[in-house]
Parts: sequence; structure tokens; C-alpha cells
Amino acid sequence: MRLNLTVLAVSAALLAAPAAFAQSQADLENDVSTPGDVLTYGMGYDLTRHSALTQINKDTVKRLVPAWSYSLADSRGQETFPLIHNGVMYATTHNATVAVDALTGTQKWKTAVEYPAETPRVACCGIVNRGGAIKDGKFIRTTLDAHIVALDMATGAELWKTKSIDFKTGYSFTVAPLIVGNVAIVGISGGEYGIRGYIEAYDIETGAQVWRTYTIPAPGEPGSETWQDGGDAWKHGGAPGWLTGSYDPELDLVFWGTGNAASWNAGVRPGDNLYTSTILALDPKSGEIKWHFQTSPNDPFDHDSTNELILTELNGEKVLMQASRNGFLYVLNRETGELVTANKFVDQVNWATGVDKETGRPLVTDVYTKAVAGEEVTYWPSALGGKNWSPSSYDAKRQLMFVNTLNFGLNYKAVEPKYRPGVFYFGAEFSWAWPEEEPRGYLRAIDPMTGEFKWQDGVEIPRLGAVMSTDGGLVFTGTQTGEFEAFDSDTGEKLWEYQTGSGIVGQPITWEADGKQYVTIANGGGAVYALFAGDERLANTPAGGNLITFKLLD
Amino acid sequence: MLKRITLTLTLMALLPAAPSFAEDAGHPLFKDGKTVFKDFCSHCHGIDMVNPGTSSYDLRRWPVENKTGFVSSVMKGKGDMPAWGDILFPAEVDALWVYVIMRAGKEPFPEATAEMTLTEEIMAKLSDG
Repeated sequence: MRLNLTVLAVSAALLAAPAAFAQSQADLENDVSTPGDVLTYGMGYDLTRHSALTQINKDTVKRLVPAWSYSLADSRGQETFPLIHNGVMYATTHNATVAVDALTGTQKWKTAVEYPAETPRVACCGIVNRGGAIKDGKFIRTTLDAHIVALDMATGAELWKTKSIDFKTGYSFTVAPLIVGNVAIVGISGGEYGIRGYIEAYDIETGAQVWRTYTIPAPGEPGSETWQDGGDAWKHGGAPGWLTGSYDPELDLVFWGTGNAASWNAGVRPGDNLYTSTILALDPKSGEIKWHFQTSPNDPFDHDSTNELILTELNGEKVLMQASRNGFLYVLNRETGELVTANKFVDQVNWATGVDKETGRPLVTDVYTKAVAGEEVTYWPSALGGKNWSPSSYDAKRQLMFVNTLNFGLNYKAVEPKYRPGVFYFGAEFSWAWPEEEPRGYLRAIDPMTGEFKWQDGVEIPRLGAVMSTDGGLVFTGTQTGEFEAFDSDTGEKLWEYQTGSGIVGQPITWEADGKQYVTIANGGGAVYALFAGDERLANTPAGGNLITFKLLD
Repeated sequence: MLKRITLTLTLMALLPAAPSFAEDAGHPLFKDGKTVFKDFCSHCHGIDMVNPGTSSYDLRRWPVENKTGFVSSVMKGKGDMPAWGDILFPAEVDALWVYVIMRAGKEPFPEATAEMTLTEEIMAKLSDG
């Protein structure tokens, strides 16, 4: 009965929407093989960010020039993933949604996002938005004050707006939704504010909540036995879901990572603390957890497991891969959640010597045990991780993952946490531990089965934006000092760069129209590193975001 | 006071480069101000008040003789700066001010030039106005 109603609702929506906007579930699933549009976050449900386009390649990239630039009129960091449908590009900032002509950069509409002036208080790591999701003529996005909004793709008019929760107690949204079937799935932010995390789904027609799965079980629920403090630690235990998951239509499973446990002081919340720092497989229809794999049990280090879960096949096995904050690159069988392999992908990991291949648990060192016991330690990788949010790309033909890695640690001491609604809930004192001689980050071409890199490109101020690769043998990414760059996929040689005028922390895409290949990136410095790291070398890189599209000079 | 700063600097020089979380840079409110800054301000204005000043204000430039303007911005918000008046206590803002005008402990307390009107009085005046 329920199923029939859903079918009716979908059919009605298809009839109501103009034909030009009638993307179907099949369109979303085939996004990778239709380079004329970009319909899904991460360039496909598998989040590979890899394109088969070859017109811009190792030989031609030297002729890559800007085609147009569009001002986002905003000085915050820009992390948006632009979408393209029917020749229109859609992008988000924290305070607006825009639609522009993809070929000319001319604005078609701009719709403001209004939120209370107090909202930025609860954004730990930058006033950002990572993009939207589209289906059936609707553009769906989240807002910093914890709402989900649907806009008419043709006009920008608001169709519905649903409040998820009161932002004032530390909850916010920066995530790009994942649409599967008739629902938009989102994960809440707030791991540093003592939230109780969740992932939830909204009906894209009505905006009604369809399900919510708390990432921390209540007492008595499965997993609650991993909270052994005997008190209320679970209520403020963290486990946000602030980065978009991937989807396997064949298994009908959504894969979503959760963030750190709160506060960071692990000593006061003994037990593994499920489902913090965990990779989850969810049923998109019910939100039921089908399997889980925890990367950092009883985590004291802010080592979220939110990083992108890339889907591919390795040695004939359906796997997912995550270059995790904690310094290990995990490969899991995505049907069962069993560990295939996990290897260090950055040079310095001192809190664990490796991952037990049988149990999947980290083999911790005394740095971990001392940190939990409240002693002063310096741990690597830092709270920002061996890799932060910046999504990687995966070139299946080369079996290489292209990853913006980080190379610094954190001086750290756990202290008694004090919970105060809407205020940082660290439970730790900390300061940065920078490397003395080496760069603070590298772009690396990594074999996911070994964690070893084929080539790397070091950079003094680490790259914090996404990576994209193509069958043209190119890897695109950008620097926080503004250079948009293209590297040779095989050698790591930098073949091209263009100074965009503001820092890049955004997500490149590539697409084609009338036989021509284009590349688009949003620039606009800011967000977690610029705000938090105290790197004064960025003082001469102006703020200010633009969408910039490139093409080959004729 | 000068002696105390010299002593602190000497101690800092003796310590290894690794963690150093001890504080009292020469004003009784400094330590509390440091805590308030970390919990309420650091995510936009930088750990230890160091930031590039591009997409958020560099507080090391805030004039020490303008506490009234500072309290107004903190409590009522200004531009991109959110308002904190509903959750910050006046005493916390007084401590925060000491931390800010001592530039996170890198400069001595600017006794001769600092505006030191109590936050409570400033708030009363602001609501009158």
C-alpha cells in the first residue's frame, strides 16, 4: 500500500514537472556515463570524481583558458560542488543558491538563504555549504541553521523548507544532500558542540521527514553497551554525518561515514562509543543500519570517519575505500563491511602501528593510551587528519587514488569537559605541531591496496580542496593561495596552472557541451585551515568567491 | 610586572618546543580570557588569535582604547560577526577583553591606553542608546 502511494506520488511529480527537468532515478544512476550533465555530488553515486572525457589531456591542457567567471558575492570559504542540467549550472554558498547559464556564466536566478545572525556561532570549521542535489525539477540543499530547502530549478522559488532541529544547541548543516529514489538524505554537523549525531531522509515532494537514524544509540538500543560511563555521555557523544555518502543501486545500500566522539576526552566515556568514527551501510528506505565498521574506537583525537567512501571493484570484489582522518586508507567489502585491507597513506602516524586485519581494530601505541589517560602528547596526524574533508578522486584504470594529504600533528592534553549548549565542547587543550623541514601537505597518487604513493607534489600551505581526474590523464586540484592546477596522472608533473585570485577549497567538475569539454571550479579562500591554523602566509590571498569555467583556446 | 614577563619568557626559552599550555601572562583575568577565546572565538579568529585576517577579522588590530565598540560587536553582532549576548556573561567578556588587548599574551597589559569600562556598564549604556 505504502509502495503504491510512493509510485503515485512520483508519477504525479513527473507529470507536473516540465519535461526538461524530469531527471529520473535512472538518470542519477547513469550520471557517470552522461558527460553533458553533472547530476550528482562527486560526479556519480560512486563518488569517484573521475571523468571519461579526453579532449582536455596531457597534450592540450596548455591551451586551457578561462571562458567565464561569475561572482558569488561572498567572502566566506567556497566548498560548493556545482551541478549541471540542461545547460544550467547550479551552485550554493552559505547564504544563496544560484543558477547560471553554463556556457556564458550569465545569472538566471539567485535565491537568498536567510538564517538568524547567531547561526555562525555553531559552525566549527567555516561558514560553508558543499552543494545541492537535483531531481524532478527540484534543487534541494541544506542551510547552516539546520533546515532543508527545496527550490524550483526553473525559477529559484522556494517549494518547501523543513526544520531539522534547533541550531542554537550546536547543530548545523553544511552537507550536500544525497537523493535516492524519493528521498534526500542528509547528515548533521556539530561534532565539536556535544550534539547527538544523526543521518536522516526527507521526502523530496513534500519535505516531510521519512526517517532519522541516530548515530549514537539510546540506552538499551544495540550498540549502547559500548558507552560504559554509566552516565549521560551518549547524549552529547557527537558522531555527526557532515559529508555526503555514496550509493550502490545494485545492493540498494547507502554508505555514510560518521564523525568524532564528543568531547575529545575519551577517558570520561569508556567503551568503543558506537557509532562514532564509523563507516555505516544504510537502507535508503528505512535508514536501518545494515552493517558498521568503526575506524577509531573510543577516539580521543577528533579523527572523524566522515571522509568520502569511494565505490569501485578491486580484484573482482565490490569494495568501498576511505582515506580516513586517522591516517589509514581502508578498503572494505561493501556487501559485508569486512576489512579487505588498511594501510598508512601518510608518513607519520604515531597513535597506532597499523590495523589488525582480523578485527579491523587499530593497533594502538602509548601515544593513544597516554592521551586517553590525560597525559600530554603530540599525535600525528592532527585533529585535521591525514586528510581532511577534501574529497579524493579515483582512476580505476590506473588503480590510483588522488588524495590531498596533510602532514602535521597536534600537541594535546585531555581536560575535564564542560558542556554548555551551543559552545565548543573540546575537553582538551591543544596547539599545532608543524613539520620543521617538510611541506604541510602533499597531493599523492596512492595505490589503495598498499597505501603507497606513486608520486607526490608537496605544498607549503596544504591543499584543502577536492581532486578530480580524467581519462585525459590529468588530475585537477587547487591551492589555498589561488592556483588551479592540472597534473600528469602518471608522473605527477604539473602541466598547467592558473591563478584564480582567491584561495581554492572547492570542488572541480568537468562536462561537455556541443563537443567541447569544460572544467569548472569555485574559488574563495576560507574555511577550516584559513580560520583555525593561524597561517599568516595567507594574509595576501584575498577572500571572495567566483565560479570559474575553463575551455581550450580554439 | 615586567619582571614576571621576563621570567615567563625565560621559562619558555628553556622548555622544549613541544606542548606548553601554562598561562598567566601578567593580568589576573588573562587566563579566563584565554579560555573564553578558545571556546567562543577561536574557530573564526584563530588559535591563539593568529589568523590571516582575510575571511575573518584579525583581532590583533582591534584598538585597545575601544572596549565599548568591542563589547557591542561581541554582544550584539556586527556584519559577519554573530551576536553572543544571550549566552556570554559580562564577566566573561571582561576577561576576553584583557586577552584580546594583550594580543593573546604576546604583549604586556596596555595599562596607560586601555579602555577598562566594565562590560555591564557598557551594556547598560548601549541599551539606553
